Amino acid sequence: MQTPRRQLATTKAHRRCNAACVLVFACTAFALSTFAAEAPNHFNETRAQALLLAGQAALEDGDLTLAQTNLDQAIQLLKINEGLYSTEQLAPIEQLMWAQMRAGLWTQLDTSLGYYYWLLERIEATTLDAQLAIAKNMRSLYLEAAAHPSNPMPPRHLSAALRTNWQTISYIEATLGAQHSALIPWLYDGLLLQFIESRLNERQGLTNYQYKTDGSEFISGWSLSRREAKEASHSIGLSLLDRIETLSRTSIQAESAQADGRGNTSASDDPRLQQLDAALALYRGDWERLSNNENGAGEYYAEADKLVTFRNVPRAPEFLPRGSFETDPKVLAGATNASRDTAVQPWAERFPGVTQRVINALASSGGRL
Amino acid sequence: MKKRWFLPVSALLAGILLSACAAKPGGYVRKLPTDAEVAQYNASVEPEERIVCRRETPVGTNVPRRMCRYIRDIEETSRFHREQLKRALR
Repeated sequence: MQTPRRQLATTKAHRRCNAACVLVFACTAFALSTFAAEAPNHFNETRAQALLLAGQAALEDGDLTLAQTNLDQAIQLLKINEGLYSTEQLAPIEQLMWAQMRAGLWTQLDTSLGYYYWLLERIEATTLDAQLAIAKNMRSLYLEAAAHPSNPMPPRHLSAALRTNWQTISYIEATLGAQHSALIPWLYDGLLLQFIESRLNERQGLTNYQYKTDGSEFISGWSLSRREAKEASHSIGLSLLDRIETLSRTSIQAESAQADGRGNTSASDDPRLQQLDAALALYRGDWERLSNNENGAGEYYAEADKLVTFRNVPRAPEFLPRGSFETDPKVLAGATNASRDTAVQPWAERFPGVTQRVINALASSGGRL
Repeated sequence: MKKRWFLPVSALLAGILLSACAAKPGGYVRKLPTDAEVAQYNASVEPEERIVCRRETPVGTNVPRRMCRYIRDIEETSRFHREQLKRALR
């Protein structure tokens, strides 16, 4: 039998033991919960998506450091979750490149570009539409990089924008055929880019950059003279319009032939062909005007004016080049008038004469089939 | 009197000469790429494979001709000429 004193001691000992157990249990639970809260779950897909969204939001807000941190983490998580060659990485890498470019981190941008192209080569399951969207995004990225005030080599990025557009044209030709009408917006964008290039050519010391620039090195001694570079630029613009004419004419004639088979009007009577001729005369006139050849422009404009409905289409230099290729005079006049707000808003100090309107047009056109 | 037949005959001769330049015996027409074709080609190849087309005036004539060359060839020729010049100036 236990004495009262001993009984009390035993009860106290039990209580202490219970308290210690509770404490140990609580500590363990707390530690686990803390660890679970702090350690990210690398296999949680929603976390990667949340980081991507946070990165995009930060990029839009102009917080470039936060954007890069979030997007970098999102890319790492997607690599782990979805695999090294996963298409899911493309979106955050694109956003990361925009953030790096806007922050003026040119070395980091080059690294990301290298990884992005490496990844694209290994991803096979992408549609043509997706490829065109990628090309359009890259073209815009290069253009903005070329206009960035801290860019040490703007011609290199402008050159890359032009190359991207030509590569896309070659890609469409290889995929859909050289006569496909999907080429038209890309050919016209080529003309807009050629115009931007010609404005950079106006600046002393940057002549012939399309041949001089290659990667990170300038090469000189064999490039074209300034006059030749201008002539080449003018000739490329005209060639692009010639190709647009061929493709548009073929497309209209094919449609007319189909309709003819159903007993409708013949191809030669199609009013769309007359409209096409007038529209092309207008665009060729625009191109001559932009090349300071007023006589040539006047001749083309007179040709366009043979179709009465084209006489009301504005053709003042501040509206040129037009944002897209259209053949309907009403649409042409409407589109030109709608761009009045941005008609004189300069795009970048480095590119005199290029307005924000042209860049907006490049950002909104092409891309889709 | 002589001048009356001189113009049409010289025009005919010029035509024959020009067509001889453009067409080879097999009917193959030698056509240099346009500036747009050059730009499109250059965009799809490695830098060392790119070409440049420009007007050059060959030795012995004052008539410039459009010539297309590989950039690597132009660079090699330039390097060779520089070295020759250095050697001659020594």
